[in-house]
Amino acid sequence: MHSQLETYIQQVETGLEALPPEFRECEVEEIRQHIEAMVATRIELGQSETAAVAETLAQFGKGRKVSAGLVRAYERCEPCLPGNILQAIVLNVTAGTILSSLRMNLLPIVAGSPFPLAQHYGFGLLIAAFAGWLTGAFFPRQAVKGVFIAHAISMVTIIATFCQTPSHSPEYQNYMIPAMGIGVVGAISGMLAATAGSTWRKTRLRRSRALN
Amino acid sequence: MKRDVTKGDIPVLILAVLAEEPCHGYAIARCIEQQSAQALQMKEGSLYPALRVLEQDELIVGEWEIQPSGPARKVYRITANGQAELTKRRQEWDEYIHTMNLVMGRRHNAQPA
Repeated sequence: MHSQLETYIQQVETGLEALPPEFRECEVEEIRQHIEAMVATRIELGQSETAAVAETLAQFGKGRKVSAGLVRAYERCEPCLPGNILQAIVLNVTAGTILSSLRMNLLPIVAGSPFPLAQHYGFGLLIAAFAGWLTGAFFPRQAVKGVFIAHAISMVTIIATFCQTPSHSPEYQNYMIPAMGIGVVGAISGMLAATAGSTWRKTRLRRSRALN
Repeated sequence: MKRDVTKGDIPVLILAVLAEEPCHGYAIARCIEQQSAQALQMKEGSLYPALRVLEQDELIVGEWEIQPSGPARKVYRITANGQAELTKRRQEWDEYIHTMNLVMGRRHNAQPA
């Protein structure tokens, strides 16, 4: 392949970094075939290879514009980009559970309801915020919904546990009710942090595209 | 007279080409060029974002097909939804032309007087 064409294709490929590899490969292959066909037609019409390549690339458009247009098209379709909602929920609950269990040293108890339980130890807001930020950074497209559902699951687990406990001692109520109250604040802080995390990730992607 | 195709018109041109026969990206560009007697010009790279949007909206489907010779190519076909969208866009276009003609035709007739 002509070196100028190779450089162009690489430029397009770099610009598509935000896409999952399987989509990126298909896009690059399709564009490569299109450009090669354009060059072949021009050569058949009597142009030199260098002139054919130069005219083809001019007619096809700037590589970074082509890739930016494709990334925008994929961004319309959320499931195509990293970050489906299940992944966001799993990451958020896992991060919350690991961080809470590090503090509480009680992994089986905190699993599934990490945030409200951690509130009791005073670390819940911090954990919720950090887990939320991580979720936003890894799965920017579904982060806030994922964090919301993760916190809802966490709260439901706590409420279910509370309802199934036969004797509600005052100590137990003193422990559970504030935990649920602060859990709501934790959910809000988690969602705000997820927004910040996803904004950070999107800005980073935009910058990397702009550099190309 | 040569004209640049605006971004917003590319999807409907693609639908119109695919309504005639399934094509790959390069062939779509050539069809637009030929059917417009070389009058419509565009950056051919802008076809691909438009193709993705049409695929997402289920107006076309694209499938990689093994070719008798050469590598597999992605061939696009218009869907029933795509046909309906094309019909709607054609009607809108006819109405637009009709409306424009009402104004432009009247002015054209009025000038000599």
